[in-house]
Amino acid sequence: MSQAAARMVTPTVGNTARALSLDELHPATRPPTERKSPHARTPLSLVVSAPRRSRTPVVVSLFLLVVGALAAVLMMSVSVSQGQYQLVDLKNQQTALEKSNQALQLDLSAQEAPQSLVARATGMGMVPAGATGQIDLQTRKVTGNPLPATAATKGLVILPPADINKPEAQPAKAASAAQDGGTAAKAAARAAKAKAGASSGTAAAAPAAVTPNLNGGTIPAPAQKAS
Amino acid sequence: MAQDSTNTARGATAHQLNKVGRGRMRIGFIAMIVFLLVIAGKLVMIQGLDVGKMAEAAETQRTVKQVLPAVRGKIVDANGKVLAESILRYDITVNQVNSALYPEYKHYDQATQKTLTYTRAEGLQQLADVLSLPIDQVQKAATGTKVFNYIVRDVSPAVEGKVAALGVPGIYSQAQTKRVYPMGSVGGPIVGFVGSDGKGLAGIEQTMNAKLTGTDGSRTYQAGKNGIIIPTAPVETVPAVDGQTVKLTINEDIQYYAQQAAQQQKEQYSADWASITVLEVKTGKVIAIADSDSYDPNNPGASKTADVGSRTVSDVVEPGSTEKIVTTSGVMEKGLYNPMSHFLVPPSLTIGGQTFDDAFVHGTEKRTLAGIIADSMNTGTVMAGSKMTKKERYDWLHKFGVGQRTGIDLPGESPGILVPWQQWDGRQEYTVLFGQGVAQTPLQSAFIYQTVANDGMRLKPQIIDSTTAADGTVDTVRQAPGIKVISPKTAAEDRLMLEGVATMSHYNAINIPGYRVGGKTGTSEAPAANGVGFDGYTSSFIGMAPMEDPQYVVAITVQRPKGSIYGVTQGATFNQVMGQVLRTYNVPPSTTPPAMPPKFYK
Repeated sequence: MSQAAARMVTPTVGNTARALSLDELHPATRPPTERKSPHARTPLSLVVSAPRRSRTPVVVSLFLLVVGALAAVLMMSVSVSQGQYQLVDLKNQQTALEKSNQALQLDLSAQEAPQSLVARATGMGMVPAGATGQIDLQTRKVTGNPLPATAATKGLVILPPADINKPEAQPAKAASAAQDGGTAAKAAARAAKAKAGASSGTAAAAPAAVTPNLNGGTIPAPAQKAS
Repeated sequence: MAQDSTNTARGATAHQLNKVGRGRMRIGFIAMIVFLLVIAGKLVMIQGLDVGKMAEAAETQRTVKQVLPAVRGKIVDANGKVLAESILRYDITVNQVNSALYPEYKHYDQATQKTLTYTRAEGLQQLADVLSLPIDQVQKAATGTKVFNYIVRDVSPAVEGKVAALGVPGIYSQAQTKRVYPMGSVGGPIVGFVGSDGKGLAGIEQTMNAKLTGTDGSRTYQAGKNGIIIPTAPVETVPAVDGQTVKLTINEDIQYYAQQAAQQQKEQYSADWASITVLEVKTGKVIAIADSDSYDPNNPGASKTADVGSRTVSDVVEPGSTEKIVTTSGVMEKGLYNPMSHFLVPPSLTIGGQTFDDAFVHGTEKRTLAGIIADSMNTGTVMAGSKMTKKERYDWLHKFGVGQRTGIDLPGESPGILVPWQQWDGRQEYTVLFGQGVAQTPLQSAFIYQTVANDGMRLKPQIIDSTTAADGTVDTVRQAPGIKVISPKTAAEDRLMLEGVATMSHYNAINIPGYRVGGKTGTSEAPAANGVGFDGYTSSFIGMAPMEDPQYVVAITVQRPKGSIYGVTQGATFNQVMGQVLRTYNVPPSTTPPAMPPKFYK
């Protein structure tokens, strides 16, 4: 392009960038004189917008977020249902413990029953107190007519122990045993009295009255098995 | 041009093709729309309108409603010892068909962590060992074609656990609540028992049934097929309210002792029955109601029907001489006599055409009223009591509670028999003065003495101390207001004469070292069971201690003792039982000397 042609190029007005001439694009080809133009201005050029390189990471992160959330929900759901299984397990455990507690309580009340206490005391060779006295701690006086108990001290009729923990398979047997209990125990007590002082005899005679149906019966209690 | 025409021709073809394609697309589009509409419609039908009640059906299928059974309340004694409680028991059952299906089975042993194979016979043998039953019995129960059969009923949870651990095919267990009475026959007739439906049929179980029974709760939840609760679904729980604990005034140790004593008396005299009642004077609380041959509520069927119930509240007997205290109360309250009043008692008294003798032979004696009571003279009692009108005699008996139920919280209480005075025959108008021709329960007799011991204030027997709700609220039963029967002065005079029985009479069997005691013997004829005449006697003793401020009353009744009636004594039994009561409650010994009212005047 000639110089004249170059001059023909209309200057651009405002902020509109004018089209660049070849010379301007290749300033090396221009004669140096021309460069001293007072109207020389900073060349502006159209900038193609930068490619959106960040688009892919956003999609990925969103995707990950969704997956993460889903995974979290899944985990929570799994842990909650896991908790349910655990709950059921613990409930079962609780029931089992309650059951054994109940059985132990019953055993305890059966042991506390007067019949059982009397039978065991007799088994140890104890006899009922005879005449008793009272001691006044302030005056240090003994009133009444206390006498030492002797092995021959006669106790009252022994009542049969409670009829529990017996399978209902043999009710007739249980009933007759309960009725015989009194007389059998009486006989045992008499036998014990005959051997006054001989604790071995008493101990031997007593178990007939002691062992009974309380925790034994036909079902051995756990404690007995362990020992 | 040519180019143009070819262009047009080509364009027409494309246009036509386009048209065809568009048509197909439209058809496809319409088909899809219709399809979607159908689906959407169905969706609206199901989700929106729920025409087939699907959601409801699904929810119903998932929803499980579980009954949370309420536990029946306990019955405990005054010290909290359990007299009745409900526990879990198991029936071991078998499905014989299922059992036969597995001649061999694998079982994973938790302890050894090994899976072993057993034959059916081996399995049943293990079961028999755990249940401590003969193998034959188990074999027999498990073999057959029944789908349900019991192997054994009523085993403890511990045994059930072992059975479950065996994992024998076809063997199951059924839970059931069972009412147990750890004290057995001690207090049995008071506590009572329940029927198979869990309702009280006797004793406190019957009268307090409403309080003992709880309210069943429920739990509604949604569960998957495996029975695991769906965590996000709503769970609705209505908690069960357990029954209330009923605390009695009974002291189980005293009850045991009294019951032993009653049994002893019954056996010693081959009597029909014996009853011992122990009362707290100031509160009317019943500490023991002991009947001979008390039944064991664990197995009420093993006892005779007649023994089911408490004779102390349901059987009436003629009280005999113990009733003389009503007569003396009447005449003294009226101001006619005092314990030192003079009576010239003939060997035999004839009044209104009726002749009365005493149990011992005597001449004409100068007796005080105290002397008449001390030696229990019918003659003297009639001499004194006949100064009252018949109506007054009736009124006094009535005031002391004869002929009316005491209102104790036990079933089957008898009011006794007190015929209106207008209907008394010629002899009865005098015999009621010494306790014949009138009938009452041993409990009513005991409360006559409670009245005298409590300065003339008759109280209502109280056997329920308190009830405790499941949430721990305690409702203590208030003592019902008493009925003023006699003045404190008359009551004190009565007590003086009762002490005279212990200190002055020829009957000197009443003696508890360290304590002043008083009481009255009673002997009367027992009406025959067929209602005609009398056969046998009723022997009784009612006493109180310590006399300076009576705290306890012990009443003993022995029905139809065999042998000579003069050899029968309840004195020793009274000493034993009352002694036990005084020791148990740490009653301080008497510090004042016993009163000895003179029997004779000069």
